[in-house]
Amino acid sequence: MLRALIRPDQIFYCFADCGVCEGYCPVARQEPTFSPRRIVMAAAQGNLTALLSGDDIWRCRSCGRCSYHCPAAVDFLSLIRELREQALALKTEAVARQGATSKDGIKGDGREAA
Amino acid sequence: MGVKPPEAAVLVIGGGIAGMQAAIDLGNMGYRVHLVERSPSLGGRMAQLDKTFPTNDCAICILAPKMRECFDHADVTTHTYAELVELTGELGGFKARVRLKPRYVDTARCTGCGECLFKCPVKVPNEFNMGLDKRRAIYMPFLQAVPKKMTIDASRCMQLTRGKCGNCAKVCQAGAIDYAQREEMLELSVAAVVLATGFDLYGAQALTSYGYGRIKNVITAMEFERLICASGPTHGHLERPSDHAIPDSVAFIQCVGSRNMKHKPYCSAVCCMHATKEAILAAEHYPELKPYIFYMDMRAVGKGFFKYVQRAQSDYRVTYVRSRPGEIKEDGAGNPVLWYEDTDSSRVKSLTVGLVVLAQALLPSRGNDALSEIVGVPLDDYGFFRIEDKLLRPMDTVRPGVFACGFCQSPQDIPDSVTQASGAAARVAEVLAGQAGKVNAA
Repeated sequence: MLRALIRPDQIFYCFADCGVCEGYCPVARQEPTFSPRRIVMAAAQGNLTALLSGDDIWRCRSCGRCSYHCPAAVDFLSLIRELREQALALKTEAVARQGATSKDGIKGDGREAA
Repeated sequence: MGVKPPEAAVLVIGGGIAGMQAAIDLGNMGYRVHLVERSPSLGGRMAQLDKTFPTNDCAICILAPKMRECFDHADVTTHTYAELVELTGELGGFKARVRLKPRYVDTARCTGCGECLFKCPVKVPNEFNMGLDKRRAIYMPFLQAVPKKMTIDASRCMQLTRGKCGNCAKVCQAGAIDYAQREEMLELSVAAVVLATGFDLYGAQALTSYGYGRIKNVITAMEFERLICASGPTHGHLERPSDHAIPDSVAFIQCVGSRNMKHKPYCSAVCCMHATKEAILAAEHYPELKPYIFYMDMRAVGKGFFKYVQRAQSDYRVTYVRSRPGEIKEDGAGNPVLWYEDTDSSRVKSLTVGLVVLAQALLPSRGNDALSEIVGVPLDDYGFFRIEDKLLRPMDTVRPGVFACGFCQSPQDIPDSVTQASGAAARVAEVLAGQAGKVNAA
């Protein structure tokens, strides 16, 4: 599933330490530990455990600026939705912490909830 | 003793550094060479550069003698302001039709004195200086142009478009202005063809997403070259566009449009080094200025290139930041503000600078589409002339007798283009030697 969302040729650009996504990310400007680039890299490497149990995937506000400007055309919105669905299925503690907002947040592209 | 000189003629398309090198080499071998250049002067893109890496040699100082050598070569006929319109036949016996565009100036009479420039009332953005200043409707592309002759821009000249003015004809003491000039067709018999059409600049959305066109102090690398050049529009003073002040810091942003799957996925090959050169030039001009280079990975692959980068850091206080910036905003004083992830620390940071220079992607000459049809040589996915065997025959196109060298076939810098040009000339000689009987009989 994730492999369909991030192809190896796209990952090549992330691994070259691009970081355009983060330069546009409004969440990262407020919360310095949030890094869309590291989420993409972790997902591409299959390091899902920490991702799915952590809070990072719930901090994204789904504004889509990263996807719009990504030189590797990574669809970050679809990626984050997929990760949230997997986390929901696992019923992690992080999911519980999100409360009611989490279910709304993953509808459609994540923006119509607002 | 003496070796009988080759009797064949060779056509070279493009009068930049690669085309001139191929023409000179072939001329020195005794071939009759016809060089066709689209613009009014030899020189190509290199003429627009201030210095060259990694030695900081003055570009025009190297180029000008080359232009002269090519133009004055006894065996090279240079056709400027000309275009190839048809190529038929095959290796050893091509027929080429070349259109000589009317300059409306008799080149036999024009002395290039420039008297006409003062009287021409029409001002047009000067493409040689990237539109940073104006030229007249009658013009010489740049000071060191070869041939040193005027050309009238037919689409802007008031005499040619509206039939009123005639100032240049009135002041020209040589009587060189000829509004009635018509285009001419030239029929050439050539045995082989060398393509050397060079590159164009890729713009569009890749630039505007970094605020180009909206934020005044965001410029392109080619504009920077003209600003820092002593013969440029500001006489070498790095005046930023918003207030003509000298910036206290300059950020160079790499891979703008290149290595981008939404634009040009390939590496333009020269930007890491030209940014390093430009940062050094800025630091050399202004001891207080702080240069930054935002790069993805440093591609300093040529001889002495990495040492050049190290020198930029140690001797010219250039800071290299491993990141591709995201958003660029503008503060109240017109300074660009960069938002980027410092990928070493993985932290988002912002940096306010006086000037931003974008390393825009380079793409093969836009004329390649039409030329590909004319010469019957297919292009690759990105518009470069396709080379069938990059390893064994790196200058051979799929059409026998047609060779390609320089940036028109793959991204490369000046030394590589010159190397390929000499290689293409040698390939022409090699292939024609095999055709000797056929060529002499024709």
